[in-house]
Amino acid sequence: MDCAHIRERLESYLDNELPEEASKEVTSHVDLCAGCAAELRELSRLRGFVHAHYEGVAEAAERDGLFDGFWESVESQLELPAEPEPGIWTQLAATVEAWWRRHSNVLVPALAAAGVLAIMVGLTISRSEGPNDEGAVLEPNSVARGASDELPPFAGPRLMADKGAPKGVAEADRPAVRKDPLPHRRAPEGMVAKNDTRIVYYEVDCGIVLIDNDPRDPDRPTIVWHFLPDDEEGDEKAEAI
Amino acid sequence: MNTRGGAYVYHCRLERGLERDDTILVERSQRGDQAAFRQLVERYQRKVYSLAYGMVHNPEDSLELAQEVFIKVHRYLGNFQGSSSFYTWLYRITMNVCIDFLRKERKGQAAVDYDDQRGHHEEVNQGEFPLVSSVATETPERVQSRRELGERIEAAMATLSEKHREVIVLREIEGLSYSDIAEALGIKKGTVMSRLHHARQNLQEELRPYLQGTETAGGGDEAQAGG
Repeated sequence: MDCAHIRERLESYLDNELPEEASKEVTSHVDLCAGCAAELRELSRLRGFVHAHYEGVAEAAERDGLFDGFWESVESQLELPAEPEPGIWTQLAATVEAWWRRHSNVLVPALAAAGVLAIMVGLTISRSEGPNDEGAVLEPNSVARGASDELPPFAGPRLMADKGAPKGVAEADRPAVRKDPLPHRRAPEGMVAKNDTRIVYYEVDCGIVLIDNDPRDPDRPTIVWHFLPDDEEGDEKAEAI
Repeated sequence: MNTRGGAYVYHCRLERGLERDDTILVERSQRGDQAAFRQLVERYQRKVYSLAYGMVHNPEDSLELAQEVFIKVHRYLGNFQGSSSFYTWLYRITMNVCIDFLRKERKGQAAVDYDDQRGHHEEVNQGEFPLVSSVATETPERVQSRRELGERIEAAMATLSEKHREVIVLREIEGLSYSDIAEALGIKKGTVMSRLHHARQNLQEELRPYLQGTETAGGGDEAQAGG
């Protein structure tokens, strides 16, 4: 291969962009050709000088504290979403509340009596069911073992499309009233369950399974999961967030 | 059963890749997690600053432009679909912000021909140049040599047109591959190679005495390898 041909490839060679065969040809030629070797040396120095200079720029900026307060400055200029306008449900709730205030003096005693009756019936039923329906609270530091019937109904944002997320799935059981053609939907990493969706099964072979409360409603748990960095200890463990 | 105010985790070993971390942080940021967005900012602030400096050669302007980049990233993060990697998308925004800045600056100055003609030396910031070496025992002569080299590099970069400066900055400062540069700038890979070649030729002409060793860089004849 002649020098003109090689010199056309020197930059790609230096940038590791040549296929292996072509790269070997350049290496062999440069080992024997002083002219091409000198040209390669110049290109290499140029790259080194430019890179080192701008590395020095960044180091000097850090050393001089230029990045102190950088985040605070960015944060102060961020456009955060405004409080949403009251939706139709909020307005409906306000109407219901106003109606309740007008009729509560009659309804409260009636509802109290009905509530006592419901509690008595509920206690009777729960005593006759198995241990999984005891209503235990999941405390921090517990370990999730993925049994479907241990997971309660919950609400959360919509299931989002998978963007190539890796391992870990959950099957969501959506109410039949929604006429969902896929009542059981597999949800990979990062997904959060939809309103009134109950997770029937989950399994992850690495990452966090986080069961947390929907911030809009503390009584409605949400399931998300994300991947964590390498665990140096290599052991499975449970930890509270 | 309810998770009343608590959360628990199932945690195991995982191989960590920066790109996967970016994906996780981006998704959290898209859901309004400000702490996740802050992590993205802190991860990339120095890189974005370096790129901006490579384009505009002024520390104060570079810092402001870097902040502007992240404000735009936050504003348009909802549009980021993940079809490209986050960092190439970030670098595209960075280049666009810098180009806009340079064009606004030019409007206030006499028209300058940026056809990479030799001898076009734009006024360069003559303030304190960062010293490339961190060796504490450098001689004053070496310090001066490095300072001169820094001035020459910035003067040479200033002779490049914006489109040639872009590719050099992304290649030599960030070490991006040709494909990544093409993706970041929205151009073809062949165009990247052509512009890099043109830019390097011009820089070689401007810096030849240093490259051939007739002028010293203060750190020996062999420059440190770049990305």
